[in-house]
Amino acid sequence: MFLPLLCLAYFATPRRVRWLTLLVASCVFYMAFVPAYILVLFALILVDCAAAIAMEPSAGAKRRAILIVSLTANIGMLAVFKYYNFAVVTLAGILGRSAAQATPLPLLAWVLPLGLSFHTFQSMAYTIEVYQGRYPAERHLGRYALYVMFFPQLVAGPIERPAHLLPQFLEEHRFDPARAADGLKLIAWGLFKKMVIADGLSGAVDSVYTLPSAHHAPSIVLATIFFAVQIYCDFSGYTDIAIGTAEVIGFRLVTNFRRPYLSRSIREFWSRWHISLSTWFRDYVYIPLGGSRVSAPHWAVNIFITFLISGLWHGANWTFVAWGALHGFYMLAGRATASLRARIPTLPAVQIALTFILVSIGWVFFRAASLTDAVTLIGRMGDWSVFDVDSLGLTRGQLILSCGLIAGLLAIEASLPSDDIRRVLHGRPMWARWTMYYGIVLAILLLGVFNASKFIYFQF
Amino acid sequence: MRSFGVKLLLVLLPVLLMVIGNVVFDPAHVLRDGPERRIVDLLMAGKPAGAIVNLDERRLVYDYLQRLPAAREVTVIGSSRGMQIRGRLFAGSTFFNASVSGATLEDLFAIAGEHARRGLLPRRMVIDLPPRLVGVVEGGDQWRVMEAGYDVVADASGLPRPAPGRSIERDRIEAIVSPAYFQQALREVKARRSLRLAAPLEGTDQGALMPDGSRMYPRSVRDRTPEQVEGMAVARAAALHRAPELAAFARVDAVSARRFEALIAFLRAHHVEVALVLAPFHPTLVRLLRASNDYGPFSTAEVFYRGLATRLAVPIGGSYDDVVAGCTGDEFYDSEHPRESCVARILRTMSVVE
Repeated sequence: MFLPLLCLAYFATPRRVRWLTLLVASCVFYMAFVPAYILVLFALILVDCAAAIAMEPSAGAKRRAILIVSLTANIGMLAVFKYYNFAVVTLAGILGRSAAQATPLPLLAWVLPLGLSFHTFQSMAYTIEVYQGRYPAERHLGRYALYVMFFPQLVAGPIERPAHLLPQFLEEHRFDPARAADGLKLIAWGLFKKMVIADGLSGAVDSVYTLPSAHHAPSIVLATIFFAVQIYCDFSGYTDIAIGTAEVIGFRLVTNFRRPYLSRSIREFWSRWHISLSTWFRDYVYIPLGGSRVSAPHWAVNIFITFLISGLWHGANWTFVAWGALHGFYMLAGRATASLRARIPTLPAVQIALTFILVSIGWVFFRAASLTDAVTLIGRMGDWSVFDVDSLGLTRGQLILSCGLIAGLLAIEASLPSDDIRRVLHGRPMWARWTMYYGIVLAILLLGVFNASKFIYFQF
Repeated sequence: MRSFGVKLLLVLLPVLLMVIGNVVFDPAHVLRDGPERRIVDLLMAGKPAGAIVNLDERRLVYDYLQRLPAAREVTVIGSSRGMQIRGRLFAGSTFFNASVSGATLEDLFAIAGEHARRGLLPRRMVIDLPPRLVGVVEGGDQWRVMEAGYDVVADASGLPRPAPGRSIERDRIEAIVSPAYFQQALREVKARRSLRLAAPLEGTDQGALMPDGSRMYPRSVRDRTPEQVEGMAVARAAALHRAPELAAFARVDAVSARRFEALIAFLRAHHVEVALVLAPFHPTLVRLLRASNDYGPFSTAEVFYRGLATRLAVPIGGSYDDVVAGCTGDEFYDSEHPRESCVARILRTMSVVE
């Protein structure tokens, strides 16, 4: 009901105060989770807005100092909420204390504020852009607050840049039925991916990754493939819902996924997966470190640092660091073998399959609860002595349905003329379009999981 | 704009169909009375009722007791894990298994109280003991069909009567607009089960409620291979490790423990011989729960039940641990439902049956 009510309120509000309608809606949306944490958001908004305004006329060391204040506020908030306990536990491990012993510093029992990693990165993008002189400081506190809090992408992105999103708050949006219909189509597709595919696969994945040592290769391999599809459908499904919702009220959000599992190399994968985050790291970490315009060893270090930070961004656990390091290694290996691979003629399908396998091995680290679990899972992938797919917790019918849905999704994505699923409908006769609409709505109603957990990326 | 509105309504047509489907099929009988009375007719005539799905087991026990002319000599109360205790184990005695799925302490109060209220308390009552009976459980309100029975035990034991339950109207509205309810309806239509609900047992493939109140699972469940059941046990162990609340038991709650003791005191005050049964879990589930340090709550519950049985001098048999209970992996339908051979052995060990 939130979207229709917001739509009505937004288009019924006079243009000059529409930002306020959106801001109030965004506050209501955020406070539906942990209300008190909106104060964290407000504090960061005030700091960053003031920093940008103070930074704009400044130069040299002062300008730099203001940027550092802003970045420290954002990273500090991440450090306290997301990384403090991880650091304390790691320190305890270094000091040789067991889990039962007291940690050197007290652990905090705080819940991670929803979408903290997303909105802090969006805020940092803004202050860095202002620092670099690429975007003027926003002097309207309400509009800046809306840039940080815009509800469709507040909790899990896409991570917007000021030049793309902020000017849209000044545009006059009229209700456009065609655009709204387009947005609703994307929302429906996102819901299908999330509720039918991702949530349908989650039980089997959880079953294996919760007790790795109880499983054998067949169930581990299947669960890992399922997780690769689950995380894609969960996250890209959320992104589709976010982009579609924004479209209904007249806003454009950046593309975040471009059919990543059709990538033919890891490098290509990162240009198609979570694009708003990978370009963030490219622009604000990798390039400032020197990018590729440095010596080969220096470049390797830059790549590795970027991927390690990217891993750590996803979560305060060594599994994410290992996942980032593995992708860093893939990138280095990819460059080292580029000339060799260019000389070996390989079918695109083989390249796609190999890339998918490499990415899936990375997902083992991403999904496992600990490094020990990840190593156990990879070790047991060689044990084909027992055909233990029953331990996935699915009936045979559910297993066949899950595999069918995955195959169907891959077939649809492979056959698309572009990255936009809606293009598949263009130029089709009315009966074909309506068959698709009803197919999606019915699939959600008949196969959707309606008591599932939140989106995976909400935890980041 | 009008065209947009029309298209939107057309797209939402399946949602309207879903609501109509929920009202028409009503698989859990939220909107209309279920088949319980027809099932009771069959049971009273000594016939099994086949293709049982989504009956309200509490309502069935209530209806059965309404029709029961005289007390049975042996009655079983407890959860679905006790539903394999059959009358043939108690040769020469009249018998009824009044177990209900997901039984809570409220259920046991209500069922025992309903027996007492109608003068139907048996000579012997076998109580299957899921751990949650003495935990803190936010159970449903289904037991309220026998709320008068609950009050009988509560009043006799000096315990407070329960607070009012949630509105049934709310349940109805939620069911009508629930896609999950629609999915359930379609599953049953597909299996054509609703149409045959409460029909006499036609063949051995389907599950049935037996005339003694015990449950026979459908062939698809009965014929599960040990490997399939082991896989289910692994999946269950993983689920319990991930979400311990699924066991609906974390620790012995002092209030629930006192209430459980009050129930036994009530039954004994009415000259009912009480026997307690701990039905085991599948060996793989027990082994994995032990390995992941998740077995603790089960041990705690068992220690409590055994301590109470010793203190009150009530016979207790079986164990949540398959090894102690003496049951093997092929004596299970799934991770936590033992077959008749397993529970029969436990009852024989207790000398409750011959």
